Amino acid sequence: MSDKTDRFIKKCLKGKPIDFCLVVDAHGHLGPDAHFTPPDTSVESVVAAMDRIGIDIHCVSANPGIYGYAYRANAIVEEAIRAYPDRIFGYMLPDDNVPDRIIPEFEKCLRAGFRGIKIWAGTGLPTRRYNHPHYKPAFEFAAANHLPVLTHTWGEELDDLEPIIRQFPSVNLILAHAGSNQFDKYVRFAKEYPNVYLETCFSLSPRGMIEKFVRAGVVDKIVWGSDAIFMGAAQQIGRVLFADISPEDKEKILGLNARKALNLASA
Amino acid sequence: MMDTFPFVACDPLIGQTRMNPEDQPPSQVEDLLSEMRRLHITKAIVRHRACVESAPYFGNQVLMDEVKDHPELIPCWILTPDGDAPEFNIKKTVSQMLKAGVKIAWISPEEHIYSPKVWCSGNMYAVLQEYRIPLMVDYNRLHADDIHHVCSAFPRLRLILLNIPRVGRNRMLYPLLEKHDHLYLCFNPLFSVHDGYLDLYRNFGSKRWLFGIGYPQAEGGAGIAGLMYSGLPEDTIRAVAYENIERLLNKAGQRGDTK
Repeated sequence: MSDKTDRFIKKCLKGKPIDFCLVVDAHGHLGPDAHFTPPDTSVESVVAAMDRIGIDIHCVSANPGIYGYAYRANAIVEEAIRAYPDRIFGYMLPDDNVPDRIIPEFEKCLRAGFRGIKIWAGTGLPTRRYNHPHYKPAFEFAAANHLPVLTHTWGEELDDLEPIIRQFPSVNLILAHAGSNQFDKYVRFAKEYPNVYLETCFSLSPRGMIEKFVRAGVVDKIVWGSDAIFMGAAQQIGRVLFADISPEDKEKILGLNARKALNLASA
Repeated sequence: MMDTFPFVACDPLIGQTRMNPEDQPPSQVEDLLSEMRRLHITKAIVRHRACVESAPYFGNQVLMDEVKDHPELIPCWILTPDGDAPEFNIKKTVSQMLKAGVKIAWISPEEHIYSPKVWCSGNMYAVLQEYRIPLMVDYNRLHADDIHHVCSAFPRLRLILLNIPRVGRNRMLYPLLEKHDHLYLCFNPLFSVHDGYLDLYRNFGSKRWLFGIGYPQAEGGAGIAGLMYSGLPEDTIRAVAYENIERLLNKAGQRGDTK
């Protein structure tokens, strides 16, 4: 047996769930999408995959929100929270086209059990930039209610986000797809700002990227996310399970860091 | 090795690239063998980058030299429709390939400047079909229309598409799989699709899927986790992990299967 075959790899090679530590998927989705057409978009299929892999909590927003249907998207997530309150963590989405409606919608979401905010802006998306004033109410709401904010990033958005990170130091900001571009800048943000966390889902699954983040000294700031159902959680968790890092670091990335980043005190 | 499936990785590409090699992951034989040990992979079908970055048949010789002491590495030759010099006879080239013990081939039409369509590459497909030699090609190198025309003209050709991306319930791939029984897909970490394996299994059974690790670019563990946590029945995981490719290789080189 390879001396690198730790208990994470052993479980995976047997197809058994990771059942000995907390596993939080910090970046997920529900609902239909035109481009990636996942075969099954139901929350039931997501929970079935969580059970196979050993994911305790899946943090989701819904896909129609990318294309301007934020409130329909929030309704999809609300239904999922109602069905699986212990397994589904909801990110509420703002409709940046109608900024006056953001706060009333967010208050409704908060009452429905949502626990975070997702803002989908930047590269390749039909949206405004993060520093547009229409997004300000969302960040203010996060600060007032102690909610984490997950942001779609692809490197270019970091300059727009840096003043926001400084302006809202009490808001944990999770930078999705960290390492997709501008690796060093993501590392700098994670080191410089206590409220910044890095999430690493990436469909290309680059060899050695998880190890590179750990070597860069930011293991305590990495949270695992899959982007499922845009991607498959199984492939994305394999990047961590097989990474050439210590089992202790895998535990941090898979769940312990998310407990802090997402304010999951009870998880 | 722990008691697990004897995975056969069908997609490794060895040989250092000429383009910014310092920015690329290592990709030499020793590194591949190390990765195989780490990932508990028993065999690998290996292609060589020299076939596309230098010259096709020169690359095949480099490949043979590099894998000769490693029986766990199964060489895969690149082919061109005209075959190797000096004869430029694809049938002779395939015969030489089989004589060298090589039972699987790949093509890269764009790099070698030819059309993969039947009018240009038909003779090559005919020989490969005749000898039941599986032919691998990158998913992004053939348009769906070309795949349809090639598989229609050569319905017993074992065509394997490599590097399937996160296609989901793809509106072209599913009809291709419905129409062509000998179209195979090799999945590696790029195939990061929620319930992707399950849906393909429910629609098309278990025989047409192969396993890959995306070497050298991808973290191969993502491919293993993708398969092991796919929700497929154990006998189907076994088929994908190694049985399907072994079946194809066992039949390769046997003539007379042109119907």
